[in-house]
Amino acid sequence: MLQRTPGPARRGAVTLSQEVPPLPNDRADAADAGHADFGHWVAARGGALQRFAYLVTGSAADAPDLVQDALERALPRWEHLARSGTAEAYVRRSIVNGSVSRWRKNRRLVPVEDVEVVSPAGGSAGTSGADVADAVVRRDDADAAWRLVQSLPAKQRAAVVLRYYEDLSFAQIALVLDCPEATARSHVHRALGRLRHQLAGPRSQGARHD
Amino acid sequence: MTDPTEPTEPGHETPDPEAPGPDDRAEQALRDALAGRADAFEPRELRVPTPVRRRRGWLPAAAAVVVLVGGVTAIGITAGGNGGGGSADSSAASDSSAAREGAAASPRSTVGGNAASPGVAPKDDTGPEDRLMRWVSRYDVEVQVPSTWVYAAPPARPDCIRKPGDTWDDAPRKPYVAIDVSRRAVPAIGCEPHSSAPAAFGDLPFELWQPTISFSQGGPTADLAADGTWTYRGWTLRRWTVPGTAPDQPVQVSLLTGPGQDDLAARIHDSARSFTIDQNGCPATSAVQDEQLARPPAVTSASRLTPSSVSVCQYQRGVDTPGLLGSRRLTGSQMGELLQGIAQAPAGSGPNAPSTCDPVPGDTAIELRFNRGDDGEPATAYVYYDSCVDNGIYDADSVKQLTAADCRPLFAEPPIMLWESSSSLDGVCRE
Repeated sequence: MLQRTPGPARRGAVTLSQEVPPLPNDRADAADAGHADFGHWVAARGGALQRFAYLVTGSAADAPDLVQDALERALPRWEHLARSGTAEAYVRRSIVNGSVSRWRKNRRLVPVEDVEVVSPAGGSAGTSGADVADAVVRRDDADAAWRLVQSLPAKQRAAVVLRYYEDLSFAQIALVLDCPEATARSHVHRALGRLRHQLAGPRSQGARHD
Repeated sequence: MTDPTEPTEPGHETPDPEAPGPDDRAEQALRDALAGRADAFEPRELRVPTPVRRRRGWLPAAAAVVVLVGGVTAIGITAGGNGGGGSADSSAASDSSAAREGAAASPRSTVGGNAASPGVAPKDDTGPEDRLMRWVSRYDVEVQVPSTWVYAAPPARPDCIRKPGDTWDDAPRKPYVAIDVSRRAVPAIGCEPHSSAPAAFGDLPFELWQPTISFSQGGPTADLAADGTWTYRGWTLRRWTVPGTAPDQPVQVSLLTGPGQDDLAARIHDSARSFTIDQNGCPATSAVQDEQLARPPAVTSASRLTPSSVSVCQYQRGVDTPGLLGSRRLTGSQMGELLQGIAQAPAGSGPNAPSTCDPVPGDTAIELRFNRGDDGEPATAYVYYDSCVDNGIYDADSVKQLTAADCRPLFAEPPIMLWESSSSLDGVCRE
């Protein structure tokens, strides 16, 4: 005879109501939940959200569409999101989910587009030879890092972006990605480990002078 | 040593003797790479979405057609009470219908010979019978559709269809409500996409299009397609999201309608709403969703139930979101047959075949709700049927075996579906 089971052991899910600090741009959302406020919020956050979407997808063409889709989803529940201070997390999560879908659909495609590679620490007139050499190393390192980021699965890439571009804590990353904090930490650790391995190798691994 | 990935959070100390410090070159490279690319990206001007304005003037007048024939039926799962009792007619999924105000203004669809219409044209788009609406539900959202729309499975492999009547052509030929087919087996053959319509319409050949409504549940691990409206050769696909009862678990409704059905589409769209208990008496969420076998709560006098109807509620297991996949309400003779089957079934679980498979939980389960007609809390029983172990109908403290008499009535009609089961149930729950 089967025994009565204890209470449901449902699959856990991190929710937006989880008690972690609100994301930086969610703190002011609770003041006004109207649609006009939604428009102001979009105007204020649209650029940053698109940059985030671009880094997550690696596609300058997809990023605005991903954000637009996320906003469409956010609108019907805007009052709740604004009131609970979770709008930023919700939209970012939608962007990540959208990028995961696109990644699954397009993972066999080799990305060919890229914005102009910028020198993160480029030398300027008057800098010394050593400074220039350091700048070249940093540029090459950044190129290697970007290639690595583009090769990561969508969710891991999002974790890296949230960590090293948005400067979020792992608890906040877990909130956006809807995963345990340990998973968020693992995503970042593994990516970082790979990059360290690459950078520790011959210089040619980190640079591309073709 | 400080966790290298936590340079700004001194509270997180993770021993990692091989890891570099906070000024790690790799971390700096990531920051440089991301900041550089982000700075070079030119954001586009975004369109601020506008709220959908609900139409006025149409109310889902609750002209409920409830067919209750036969007297009180007594049944006892535990004590083997008397089944039967229902004498004549029954109502299944279409319990509730409503007359629409002002429906006569709708134009007829331009079908048959019109290049804008598919070869298999909807016949009942705006006819008189189309004004009767009934509720259909999925997850925690319900919507009214014409009572003439049937439940049907969308084609398994639409991309394999070459022409209507093809070997793989299992497309419904009437307007339909798409039932959940995530557990259906599909033919594993390679086919090329076969549709020139925009991607949002899917791969079903245009010749086989029918007015259709389907549901998708979003959430942290399930992405929804973009909401919007698309048109193709006079057909319109509307996709919109309905906030559900659970936080961050919206349900997306996709509605495909044919030429001349804009008014009908608006009526369907405007009727969408969330629920905690649907029109068939089924909650959006049930304890049977749990992967562990659950038992319903004990109910006073559970051994002598006198239901006026039985709600058959099928759920997806292993999810903690609203998991209602389909519902029916049995009354009259259908209810009587079920109750009699339960009453006469042997005690104990089964049929089981533990030696033939891994004892994994089934994908779906059913909650039966024995409604008493006095708005009191109904007694419940749980039905497990798609595993090789623990099959049966459970109440709080006893279990009855699945038999043809007590199982087939559950799966007699969609949307309650039995896609797969242990071979031990072949010939029991299905012929």
